Amino acid sequence: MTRPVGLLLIWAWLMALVAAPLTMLLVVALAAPSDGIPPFQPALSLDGLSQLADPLFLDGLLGSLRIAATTSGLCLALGYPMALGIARSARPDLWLGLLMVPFWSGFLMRLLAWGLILRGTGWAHTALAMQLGLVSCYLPFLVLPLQARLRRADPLLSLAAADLGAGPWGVFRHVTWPHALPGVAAGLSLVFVPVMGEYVIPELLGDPGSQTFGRMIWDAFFAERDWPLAASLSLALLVLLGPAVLLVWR
Amino acid sequence: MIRALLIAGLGFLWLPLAVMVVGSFNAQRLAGAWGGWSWHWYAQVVNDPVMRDAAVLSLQVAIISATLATILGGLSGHALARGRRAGLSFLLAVPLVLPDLLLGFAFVLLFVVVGVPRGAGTIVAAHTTIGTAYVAVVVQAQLSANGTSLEDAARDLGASPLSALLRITLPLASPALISGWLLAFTLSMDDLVVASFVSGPGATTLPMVVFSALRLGATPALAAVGTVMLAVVAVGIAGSKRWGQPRPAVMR
Amino acid sequence: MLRLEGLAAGYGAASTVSDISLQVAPGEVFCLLGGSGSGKTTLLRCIAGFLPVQRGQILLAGEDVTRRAAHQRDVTTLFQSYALFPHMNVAENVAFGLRRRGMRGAEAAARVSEMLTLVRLAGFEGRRIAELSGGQQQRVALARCLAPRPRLLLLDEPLSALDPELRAATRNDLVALLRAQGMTSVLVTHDRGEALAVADRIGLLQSGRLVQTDTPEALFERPVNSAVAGFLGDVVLLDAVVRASGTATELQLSGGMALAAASDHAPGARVILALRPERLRLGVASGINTLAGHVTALTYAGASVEIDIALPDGAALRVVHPADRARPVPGELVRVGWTQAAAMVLAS
Repeated sequence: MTRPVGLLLIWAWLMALVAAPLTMLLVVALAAPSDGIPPFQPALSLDGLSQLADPLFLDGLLGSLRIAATTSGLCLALGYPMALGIARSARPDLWLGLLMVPFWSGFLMRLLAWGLILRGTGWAHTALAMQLGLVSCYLPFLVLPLQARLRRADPLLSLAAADLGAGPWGVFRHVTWPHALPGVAAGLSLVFVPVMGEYVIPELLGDPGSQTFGRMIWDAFFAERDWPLAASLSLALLVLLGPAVLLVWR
Repeated sequence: MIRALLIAGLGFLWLPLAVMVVGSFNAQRLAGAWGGWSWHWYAQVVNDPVMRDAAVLSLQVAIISATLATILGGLSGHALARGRRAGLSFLLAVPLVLPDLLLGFAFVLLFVVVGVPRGAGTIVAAHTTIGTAYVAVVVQAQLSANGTSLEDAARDLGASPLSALLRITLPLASPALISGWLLAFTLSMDDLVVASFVSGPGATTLPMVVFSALRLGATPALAAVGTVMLAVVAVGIAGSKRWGQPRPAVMR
Repeated sequence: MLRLEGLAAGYGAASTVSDISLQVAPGEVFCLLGGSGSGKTTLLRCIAGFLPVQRGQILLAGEDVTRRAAHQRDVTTLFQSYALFPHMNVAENVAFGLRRRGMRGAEAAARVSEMLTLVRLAGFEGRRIAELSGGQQQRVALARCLAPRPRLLLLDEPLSALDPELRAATRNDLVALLRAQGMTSVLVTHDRGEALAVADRIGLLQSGRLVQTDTPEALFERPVNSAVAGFLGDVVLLDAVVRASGTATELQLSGGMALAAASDHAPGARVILALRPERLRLGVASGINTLAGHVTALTYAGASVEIDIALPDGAALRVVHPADRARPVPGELVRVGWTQAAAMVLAS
């Protein structure tokens, strides 16, 4: 049994630094902007929330959804075979190590590198550049849980399916994929959710004209100093992502 | 076929690293034009006070927050491995899954409302919280695999709960704690968004400096910074392999 | 139905099994018997199509299926761990093979019910696999294998996962079912009791080779060598020299004389006289087919007592003695006898 003191310490920390901030997000979203410090006034104002009806917000929402979906799709398309390759190999931990080293090197540096690579070509600051950066950063997040799941597959089940007459595609459809599904779900939520809130990669590599959730929140906070707006946007994003978070938690 | 895709995927992930390392030695400033090998940019970076201060601050923040995160995360992971704790695991899932944009903003709200001056201290607090969540996952995974039977056996033989924790669980969990520390350290060194939100005047971390410079365009100088970071990380990973290997789970 | 000719297979370059030739008639229950490492599982995987063949041929109902993929052979396997699909319920599992062959809807559902009734699990269609006991899981696996009416059924150690008390009953149910369906089956086991009880014919595998293929009685009564004799049951082995050969074989033992059935061993040949402990009797008068020795140990076994006897030349005998008869004490001098029919003469 963990000593109660230790548990108390954790709970105190988490309540203060996770639960409290989330509650405050709600409070500030309902506040009004002001020039003072902090730049918001606790009041019951729906100003911040009403700005969500702006078509610009819809632009940003759709933009983020599109980017998150594309990135998830690309990560899955490349990541599934990679996870399968790792799971089937004789030394999976070796391949995992090779996978994780770029991750450990820091994402800013890799974005910098993509910037360098694309600089001469005409593809800098386009959707393609941004997707390359996103997939490059988030691919490991999909492969990691997926390969863990695939490694636990019972090889006999595939044999049994073939024994009963399923060809290679049948085995995939009826045995391999259903088994992989929880791993795919875990991996996708580790990609889709964070990418919805991505700011840095679209900012550095993407099309300056495109609008994303991340850019809207960043601008609201740093550029416009409109905290209630930033809070409303954050809340909207939280509500959108809530179901996905619950999925991962389970 | 699958193996070919795996290698291609790994190549895709490693490509930017290779380009960055090579680019850092480019004597010419303009990317796309190769001007020969040069240490020029490394010299420039090392002599740049802004870079240097930012690097030192980042290291300090990373070491402190990683250490705190390992303690809190280790305790959390142990608690989670011992039984299903819905509330705890939910609170710990939040920093893992939410985009750092949301986390950053929520943290800054907290600090402002409570009246804590923003600076290096708030960055440490934020990074510790995020790191705790990651360390908890790693520790829980390893302790679940080991099972609680060894700790129970120790108590059965007369060790107090604290003694069993320190003498049995802690050494067994040490590989997870080490790799957890390295993970928290890397995340802290790497973090841009949260730090930007919660830091204050005078507290500029290395990623923040690199980011502002990057907005103007990628340069070999920045590539030099990146290569140095990569070298540091490589040492870290080597260390993790040496000391962070989990002992094979002997018991069910 | 099944014919193997000169089959060799293995993992990597080496051959785990070699020179395997056998035939299984339609409706026959054939047992592949062998210890661990004998290659029986390797052979089974070959027939199923999971392991490529290195040499030789596999013919199923006259067709050469040696190169055919597993899912295209009309052969199903009952795996030792059952390999039921956890994400499907009982009906979906049983219907799997039917679906692959294009059977759908009402027809498939009817066959599923029929199969489940056959294995005495009627009404279990909607159950999840995790809810079932081990025995129930096996019956579902069996139903799944039989549903597509394959030409050949392979069974990999079907009884070894069961509790000993259940084994006999399950074994009888299984065999009755297979015979009722007229199913040609190849059953792999290491348990000689199982093989003797179940098989129409047994193929004994040792170190990757088929040592003897025959009916259970023939294997038990007329083993081809002492290794086979020992595998099929407890056996006493005594060195002997042939004295004369004619209508019967006369053997000189170190402690006496024995007469066995006619064999073609030449006089002077060194052979082994093999006897089953169950066929030895105590308290006989001296004469041919008897030996004397001292009792060294008695082991109580419920219905019988196993009596170990040391012979003067150092050899040992074991006698299985009914428990309700008077038994000797350790150290006592006793005489053991047997009938001519019980004597097996094996090459040395």
